[in-house]
Amino acid sequence: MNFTVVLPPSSRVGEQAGLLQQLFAGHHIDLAFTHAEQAKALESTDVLVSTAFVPVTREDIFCASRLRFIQVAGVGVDHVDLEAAREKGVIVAGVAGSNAQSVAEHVIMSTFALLRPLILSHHDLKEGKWNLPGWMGQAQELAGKTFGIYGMGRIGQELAKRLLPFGVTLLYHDLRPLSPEEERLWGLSFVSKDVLFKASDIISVHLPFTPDLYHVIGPQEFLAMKDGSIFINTARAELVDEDALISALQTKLLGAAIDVLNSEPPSAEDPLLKLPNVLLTPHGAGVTIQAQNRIAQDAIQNVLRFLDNRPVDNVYVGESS
Amino acid sequence: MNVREAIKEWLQYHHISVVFGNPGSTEIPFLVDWPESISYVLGLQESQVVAMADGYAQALGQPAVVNLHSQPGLGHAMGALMTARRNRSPLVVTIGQEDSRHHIVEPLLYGNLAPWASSIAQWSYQPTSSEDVVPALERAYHEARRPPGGPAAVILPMDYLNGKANWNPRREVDYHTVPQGINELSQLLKASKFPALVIGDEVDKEDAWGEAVSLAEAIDCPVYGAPLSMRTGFPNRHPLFQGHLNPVMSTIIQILSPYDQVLVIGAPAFLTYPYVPGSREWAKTIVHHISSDPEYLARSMASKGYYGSVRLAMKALLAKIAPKEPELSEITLQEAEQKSTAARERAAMGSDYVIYTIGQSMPADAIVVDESVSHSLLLRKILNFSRQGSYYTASNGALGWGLAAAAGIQLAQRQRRVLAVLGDGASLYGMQSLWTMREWHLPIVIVILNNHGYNILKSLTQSLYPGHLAKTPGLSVEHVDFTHLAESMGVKAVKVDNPFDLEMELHTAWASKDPYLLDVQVDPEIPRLL
Ligand SMILES: Cc1ncc(C[n+]2csc(CCOP(=O)(O)OP(=O)(O)O)c2C)c(N)n1
Repeated sequence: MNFTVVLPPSSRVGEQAGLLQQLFAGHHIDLAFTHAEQAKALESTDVLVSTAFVPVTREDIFCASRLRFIQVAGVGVDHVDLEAAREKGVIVAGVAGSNAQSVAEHVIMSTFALLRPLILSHHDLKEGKWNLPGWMGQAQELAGKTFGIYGMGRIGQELAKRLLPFGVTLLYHDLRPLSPEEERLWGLSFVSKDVLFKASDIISVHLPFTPDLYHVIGPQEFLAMKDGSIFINTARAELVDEDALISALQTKLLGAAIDVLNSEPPSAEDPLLKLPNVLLTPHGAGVTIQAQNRIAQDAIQNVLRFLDNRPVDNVYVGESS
Repeated sequence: MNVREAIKEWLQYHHISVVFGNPGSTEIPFLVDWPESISYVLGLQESQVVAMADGYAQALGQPAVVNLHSQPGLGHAMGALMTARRNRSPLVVTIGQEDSRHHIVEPLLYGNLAPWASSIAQWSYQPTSSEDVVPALERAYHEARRPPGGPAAVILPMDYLNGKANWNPRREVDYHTVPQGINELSQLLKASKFPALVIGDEVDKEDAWGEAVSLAEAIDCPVYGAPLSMRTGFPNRHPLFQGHLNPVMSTIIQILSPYDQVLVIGAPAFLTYPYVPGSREWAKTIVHHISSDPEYLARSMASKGYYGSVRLAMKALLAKIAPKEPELSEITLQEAEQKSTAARERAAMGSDYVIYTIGQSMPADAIVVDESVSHSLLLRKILNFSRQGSYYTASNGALGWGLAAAAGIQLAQRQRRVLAVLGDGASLYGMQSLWTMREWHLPIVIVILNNHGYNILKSLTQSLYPGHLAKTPGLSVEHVDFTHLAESMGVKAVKVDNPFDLEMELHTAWASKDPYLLDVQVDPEIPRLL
């Protein structure tokens, strides 16, 4: 069978290729980094291991005459044209949410970094400014604060479990509340979206994106937020009205940690880059080395299942067996 | 009619269907030929008997009758009578006495009891003849109710009970008065920019929760619970409720100083413990104080006192103050905080978790008897009290009251469930009451928060004499087997040392039709209370 494996730009090719050859001995493997390379390989491939760095379009799918299985090695399959896959009878599978714990840790890191003016102080110091009084006037503890989690899926739950020991009060909102038993064990109180924004000192968003959630957080939500509160988005840029966020950052928020931007990468003029109280990361909250390894493991396991004619896991399109 | 018969008629006339006691030879004339319509509830030690009657009287809102055994029985009862006095609990206390015909030679059980009892009673009297006995009981009934309320003692020489009775009950007394000066007070409250209320035990005793809530909502002001209040008079989940004041004067002044007018309703102003140095002066705040207890008013720290019924006073105020629409928040953040804290402390069986879990298990109209000592502040904060008669504790910090009072309260309130929460130390002052609970099949849930010692005293030692706790004796109570102790008196009991068992056993306990004791091994960490 022929394989095409799309690798992230950072991959150490030699190492990966060796590993893949070993795992899929007896099969032909093409490695691809760009859309062009992928398109070329797809002409003769049976199995595509895809990552979000390279889209899989309708045209790609229909031109790949032998293609039977797309295994996405990543969380989220937005870059694959699922409709086309369905029409063509190609199975599309993903991996379980193996990055939940990385995202949760990222949120906690960002929270602390904003509560203590970590980045600013660090830069001050490197520029020769010893600003202890400034620090003393700003540094805050997390204990005693109210933490609101908007979206209580896998990531929200991992976050809640990790936050509880820090001495916070946990609120959440979701379309589907947890069971009373889960709420009690994790110390979570379900509240309306309105109360969530009004009562929280820190809000972190963990919703999946669907079109009806476009800009679900806008001027009204930021208006409701407390003065001096913190906003964190590691979910999807489309959920948040960035203009409203910027104006809240300028007027009332202590700060925001934003991992997902409207345009990625942002242009040099992007006003978010100019604000002192925003902490930016390159859509990497879930992409730790450990999470990538878990994702790779999951993806490989699924491909092996496919080769063995066993049911594959996390199927988006097609039959699982 | 002889006095023995007349006493029973007198009891029935006042609809007294329960008498508490522990007998000796001098009480035999009182007990003989006991009518079926009146329950005699036997307690196994006099302090317990009095505390049962105290709880019963409070829960019923009527005087309760308790019968003690002459000088030894009164001796044992003195502490509990002191508590009943401080609780303003109306008790008619009958005390047996040797036959009057040999008092002159001071027989075994004789004592000069009336003066002795008078140190804790509102009134105390030894009748002068058999004809004088029922009139004395009748007077005691009204003396016990006389504001502020408390024990009234009648000494009964054995021979008088065989004599002829003069029995002529006559009157009803309404001690409730409308306080003067309410008009001016209502003006001040209306004009006030930052008013606040402090609610105390009398609001609950006068069944005036509704008035208190309406008044708070009409003024739209923060409400505090009086410090160490023996009863709760305001729903502690109400959005205006700010929690209970700490019993430290400087803290009370600090918390109430931002307000220009503070109205204390039906509480001492203020009950404090322990002594912490600091000024007792108010800066700008004007404190008003309404109470039906002249003693509360006489020693009050308020600048103006109003004597009379708190319920009538609040009604009068409400007639003058137009209610505002209350703004109710969807949840109180406090509840969320408790939920998170409970979850955090679950694994360690921390106090927050244990009390939260108890709160989750209990019926909404449960009555809580609190002798949980170092846990009391948490318990008052975490459990949900939403109606009249939901919370009882001894007003003077006396231990040994809780179990007995729970029994008395359950006897008075058969349709509601009673939960008694006690420290392990506290429970051991009155364990005999478990026997009474079992004999009467009182379905009381008893939770012992067992930290194997007197933690509040350890906490106090640590803060008063830091570093000296290890060399302070008498503060640990190890090696008590509570489940066997309870089971020896017929009460089902389990030791609980993990969250899973706690959650399960609480369900079993509430489903029980008999008393059920949980010996809960709570995190023994010494709390910082000061
Ligand atoms: C009749 C009586 N004797 C002694 C005391 C003194 N005292 C106050 S608190 C306390 C210890 C209570 O211990 P426990 O009930 O186990 O509660 P904890 O402080 O451990 O929560 C004692 C002995 C008292 N209040 N009443």
